[in-house]
Amino acid sequence: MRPEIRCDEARVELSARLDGEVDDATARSIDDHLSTCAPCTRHEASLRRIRTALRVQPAQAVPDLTEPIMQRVGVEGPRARRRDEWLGGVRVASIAAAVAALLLVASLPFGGGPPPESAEASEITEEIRAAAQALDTYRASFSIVERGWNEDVGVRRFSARVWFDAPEEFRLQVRDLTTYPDDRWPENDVDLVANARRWWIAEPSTCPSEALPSCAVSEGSEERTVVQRQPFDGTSTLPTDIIVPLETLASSGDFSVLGRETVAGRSTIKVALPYRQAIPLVGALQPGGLWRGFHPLDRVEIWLDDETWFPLRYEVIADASTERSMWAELQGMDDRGGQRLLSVRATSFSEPPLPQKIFDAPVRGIVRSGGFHERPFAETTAWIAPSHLARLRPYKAGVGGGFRTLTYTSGMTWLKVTSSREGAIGAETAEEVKLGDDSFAYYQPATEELKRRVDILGRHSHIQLESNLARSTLLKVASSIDVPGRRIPHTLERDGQRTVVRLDPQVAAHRSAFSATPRYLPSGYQASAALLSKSQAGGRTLTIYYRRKEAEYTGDGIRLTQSPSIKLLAPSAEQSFGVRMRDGSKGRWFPERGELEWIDRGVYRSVTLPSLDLETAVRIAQGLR
Amino acid sequence: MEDPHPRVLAAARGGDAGAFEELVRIYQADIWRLCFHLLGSHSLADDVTQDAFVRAFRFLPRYRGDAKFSTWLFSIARNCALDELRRAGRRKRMEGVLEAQPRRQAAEPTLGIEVREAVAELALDLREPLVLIDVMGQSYAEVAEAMQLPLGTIKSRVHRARGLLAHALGDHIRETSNEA
Repeated sequence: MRPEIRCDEARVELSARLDGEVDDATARSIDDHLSTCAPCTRHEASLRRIRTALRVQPAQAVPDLTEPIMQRVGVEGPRARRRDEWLGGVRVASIAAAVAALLLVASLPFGGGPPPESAEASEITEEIRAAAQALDTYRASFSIVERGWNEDVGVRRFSARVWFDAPEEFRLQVRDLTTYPDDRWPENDVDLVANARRWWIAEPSTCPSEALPSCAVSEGSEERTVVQRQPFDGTSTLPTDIIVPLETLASSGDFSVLGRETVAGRSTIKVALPYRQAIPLVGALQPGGLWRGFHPLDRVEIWLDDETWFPLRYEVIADASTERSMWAELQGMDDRGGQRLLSVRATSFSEPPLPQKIFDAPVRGIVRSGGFHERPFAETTAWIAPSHLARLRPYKAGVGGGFRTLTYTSGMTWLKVTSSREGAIGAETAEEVKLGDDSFAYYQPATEELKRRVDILGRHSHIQLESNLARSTLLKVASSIDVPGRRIPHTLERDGQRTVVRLDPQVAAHRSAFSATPRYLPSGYQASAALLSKSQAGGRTLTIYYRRKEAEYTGDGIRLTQSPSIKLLAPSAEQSFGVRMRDGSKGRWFPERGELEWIDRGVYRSVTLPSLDLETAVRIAQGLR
Repeated sequence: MEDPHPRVLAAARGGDAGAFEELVRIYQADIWRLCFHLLGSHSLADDVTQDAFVRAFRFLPRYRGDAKFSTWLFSIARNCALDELRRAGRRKRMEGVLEAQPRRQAAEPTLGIEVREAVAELALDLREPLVLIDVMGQSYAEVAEAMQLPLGTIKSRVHRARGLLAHALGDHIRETSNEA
């Protein structure tokens, strides 16, 4: 690493760094240079704007030239066979003619597949990450319109205000402006205040919306407080995606760019993605209280300010598929496909200095302690401190709850490193990653509560990193911790009845004669773990987990279970729909848990995907070889 | 960018028109954008995109799979576009090649047009790496390979191109984006 670089050198490297084309040492010398050079800092901002302007362009401006090209290629005759024909050899419809719910499968739009991640999307992702790291303070107000919450109350209206002071002072105030039929209906006012030590929420204390208005309304609101809060504790969450949708957009990268539009006089970029990926944003103004539910396939459109990357407007639109309308029926909802179920608009925003008293959180209602005691950074477990910090600065250190904790932040971005004597929870099904020549760690994508995690099993203790940094950055940080990580033992469990072993997920499906490998997976999914369970009686069950890299908000991604020992589908009282499989056998779809199961030539197989849909399950089933 | 499914590719190499049409659908937008930014004209981009796919269809049996399919296809498109520029240069019709009116009905952002005009003003040796990297999302290594230049040269050319654009567009970029 060079100690110093000149401006002209720094600028070339700055440009390359925007493209992810510099090594860590150079990145560090650039950071050193930028910390003392204002002109180069401005130059970086200007390069970044140019790069965005080039990369973010509406997709619809490109013509469809398929017809003239195919004519010139000179092949006449029947039009193309569709992709699924040579992917699977058999048309999907023939394997999945529904039995009990014929229309359910017949209406599936097969073919195509999700668009690959575009240069535009990855550009927006980077911009959002940069904006989140740079943000200090924020204040905004929103108006909210919600439809279909309850059949007796067609439309509800709210105002919301948000204050934020990085990294973890946050306040949200939601006020219900709806005129209800009578005073038995509770007003859905929600308050949340968080600061570095404390977290408090107040929400209406009432029964679920299906039971309203006849069930008795208890008076006032229900309050919960967390004192001695662990920094960045996921169970007392800060819904910061409303400020900059870091999780929603930067984690998924799987959204489409629709173009530019003006919202309230500001230039915005409009993007769209399914609700299942937009949960952190849509849920941000609804951390408590009573709200309507959405289906994973509902469409979310977001208008992002192209300078600040604040969402200035977003909407949730009901998906029009048959599967979606059956779900609505099960939920007792009367949504029409295409209906705008939720509309949120920013009515003002600014980045002013904020007085600390805004973030004074009361101690009321049910009080729980996070057990965190702050300690000076230097006193706390220096040996778990990473040497590569990805431009974050030390924030807070402490002990409590059996953990030692170090935290680092920059703007909204944060990293938490904890060490404890306890084992790693969930690491058995996590993805094994190599940190160094002889060091391993276990990676899990973000869930609704927890951000991305890396577990390192040291000789004497367990180190966990949790962060809203991107996976690749987090892994770099993890590999800079000077503790070699052990591998999880091959045999996880062995008792008289059963043995469970961990297999390499890349080859697991090829190793057993009974198991098949999926040729098709939705974009972004890859095998992350595999477990084989063997019973004393000779039964075997192979379970393979497929996950997206950055986030899996609802459920566990995709789980494929195969067993030659199960010969019949067990009777089930749960609501299910019959699906006729390729060989004519009957399969079952459980919409509540998102599971398709069937017996394929004597082998039980099931695909479980709680955040996806039957169409995807059928395509995966069809692609098994 | 992800490569197509191996079976689609294999079928297309075997002359299956349906499979080839699938490839056209996957890549035509990227190829068109590459051509448009290199040539600065909608109608030339339409023509050259077609040329590129026709050429690709013809050469597909020779594709060995040693490079990514997208890299291979981009290099064909790039060669087609450079051929067109050479022809155009001979015919002296590069002047005013940028059309005055965009003819797509989708409302094109003002910002986009300003940027495209500025890109079209760049010298080809700067424009080409910039377009491949910023518009096509290729890596520096891929571009260095395609242009047969050292990686450091690509790096500094991209920086120079961005610097010139920043200078040409200046504060304009912020003003226009607010009225788009």
